[in-house]
Amino acid sequence: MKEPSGVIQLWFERKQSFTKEIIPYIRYMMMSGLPVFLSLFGILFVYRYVNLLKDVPPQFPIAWIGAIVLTPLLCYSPLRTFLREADVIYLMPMEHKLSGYLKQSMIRSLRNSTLLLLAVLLVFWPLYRQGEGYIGIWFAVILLVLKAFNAYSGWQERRLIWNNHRFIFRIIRWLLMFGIVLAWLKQDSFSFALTIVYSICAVALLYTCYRMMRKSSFPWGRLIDEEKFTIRRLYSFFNWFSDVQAVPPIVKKRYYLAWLIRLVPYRKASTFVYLHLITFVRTEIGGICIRLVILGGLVNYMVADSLGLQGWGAVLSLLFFSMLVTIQSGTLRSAHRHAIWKDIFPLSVTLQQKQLVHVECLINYILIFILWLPTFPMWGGHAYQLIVMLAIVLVFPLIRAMQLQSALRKAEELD
Amino acid sequence: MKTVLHVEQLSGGYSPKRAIIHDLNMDIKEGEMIGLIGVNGAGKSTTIKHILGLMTPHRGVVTINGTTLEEDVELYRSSYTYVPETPILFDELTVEEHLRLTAMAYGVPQEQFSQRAEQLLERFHMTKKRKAISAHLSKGMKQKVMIMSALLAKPSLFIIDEPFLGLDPLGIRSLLEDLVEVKHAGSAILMSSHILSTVEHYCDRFMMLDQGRIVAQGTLQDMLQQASQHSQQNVTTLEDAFYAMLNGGEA
Repeated sequence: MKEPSGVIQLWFERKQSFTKEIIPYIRYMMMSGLPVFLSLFGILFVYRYVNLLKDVPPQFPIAWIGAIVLTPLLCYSPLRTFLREADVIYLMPMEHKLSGYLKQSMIRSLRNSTLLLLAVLLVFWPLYRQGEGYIGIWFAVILLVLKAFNAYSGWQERRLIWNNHRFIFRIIRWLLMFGIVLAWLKQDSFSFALTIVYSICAVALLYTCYRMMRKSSFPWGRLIDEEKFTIRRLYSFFNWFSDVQAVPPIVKKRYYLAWLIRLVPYRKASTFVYLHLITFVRTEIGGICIRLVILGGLVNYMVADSLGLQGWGAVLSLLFFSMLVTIQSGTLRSAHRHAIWKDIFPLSVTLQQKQLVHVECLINYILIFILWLPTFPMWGGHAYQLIVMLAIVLVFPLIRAMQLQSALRKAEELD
Repeated sequence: MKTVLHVEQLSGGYSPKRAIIHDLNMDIKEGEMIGLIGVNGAGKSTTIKHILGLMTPHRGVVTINGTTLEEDVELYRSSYTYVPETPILFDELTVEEHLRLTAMAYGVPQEQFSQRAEQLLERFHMTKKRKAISAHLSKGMKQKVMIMSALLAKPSLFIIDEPFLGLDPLGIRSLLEDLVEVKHAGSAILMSSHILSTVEHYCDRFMMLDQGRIVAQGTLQDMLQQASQHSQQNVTTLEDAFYAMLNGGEA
């Protein structure tokens, strides 16, 4: 049996082995051009932000923006424990000696999430200075104290026996924290004393509730699930750039997209359309696409509204996000590449490939069309830019479909 | 009666240099249920994979309804359904969606699908789980989904590898009842299993494999006779016959 120092060493070994495992994928990501695109985006953001700082409109909702941006960073404390399923057999007998192991995870989690919070706070600070409730460095101190409390709360919630309790507590905590941050940022509306009382009461209320609830001493199942979830998410991101080892997908029902599945006609020629559409809707492939479309839509709107680069900014932004979403939707082709049923179902390889190309093309059309819609502020003029954008909407999915077809043909020849 | 599965001089394995199964011959006719038995590593699953067309044989021929895989892939594959030893489901599909997917792949008419799916869900006590995502099902339930999907397609040959693993007694009863039903309707069944006390009541013939070769075959009576001769004892059950043939002649 490992001694306490042994478990700490085990933690470091696992962390090291995880780092080693992901380094090649990071390399592929770096070579993909994504960092360059992100840097360009960063530059664009800085440019817009500096312009805003020079002349902040009088009614600009600084406090609300601050609360919306800072609350998630304050509340979200992911915990990497590097635990595996087999640990239930091999490590569980020495659960009482695992505090050192867990401490390493908590320190890492708190350090990383605090640094991220501080980094964002630093960016927000020049805007905050111009707000109504500026209290100087004390605001940073309050956020740090709250961050520590949230890390503690996150752990207590993980220990709660029932999932629905955890879910409810998390929502309540996020709402209370949002209220606290907003109150500190809006000092003119809330009196100073009232804000202090509210903050202390909210924290005390949560603390008391955690003390009263039934908890497990070491939430093995939850920590292992959280670890698996993180790994899956990470690998589905790396899957954009290279062929990543098979990881079981994260499955979510996404009822709001279920109507798409129902649209697939019942016929043999749609078998793989049906399968891949469900995969898209329920796994992270679709999840990431949806988030990208929301983000891209917002950016496209902002760029189109400001008529950056005389409207060409919106064209570039649409092209960029079209590329991103089609790269992501393109991972659909490898979702069932090794499924035995491909070789069991009575469907020819040609028909299977045709259906895959068909569904991917359809998804790309829908996603790119949705990305284009928020550029409406510039539809009135700028005919050339509009024509190029429409060409992107119409032609880009076809190009991707042709690329997929050729890739599938090559893969078949290799087989 | 028409031959559904014909295997002739079949040899094969994972490496071209080393065969795992050797010169297998078998015929399964319409309405027959054949039990493929043998110890772990005897070559049962390898034989099944060759019949499914998942492995290329070193030599020999496999035909289903007179067609080889090379002659017509779609026709060959539409003639059988397969239940693997370990349930292999698409994690993101619900129970109902799995049934629909299989029915679509096998070209089952929609009305027939709806009616048959309802019957199967009820028979296997899965009606309440029809909307459940596969990733959240227990192993036994996953196995039931595999079995229901296979039964839904109603092909001329069922290839079933260790179907009873993880199934509850009600599930085993439903499966056996359904297999008898499809058998009477004219389908052929090739079933590999270790639960000899159960299969001896349902299979018409048996094939015992050892180290990739058929060491005994025939009806239950033939198997008992061969085992009695081999062990020079009175063998009365398939399990005893199995011991006698594969355990150095001791029943």
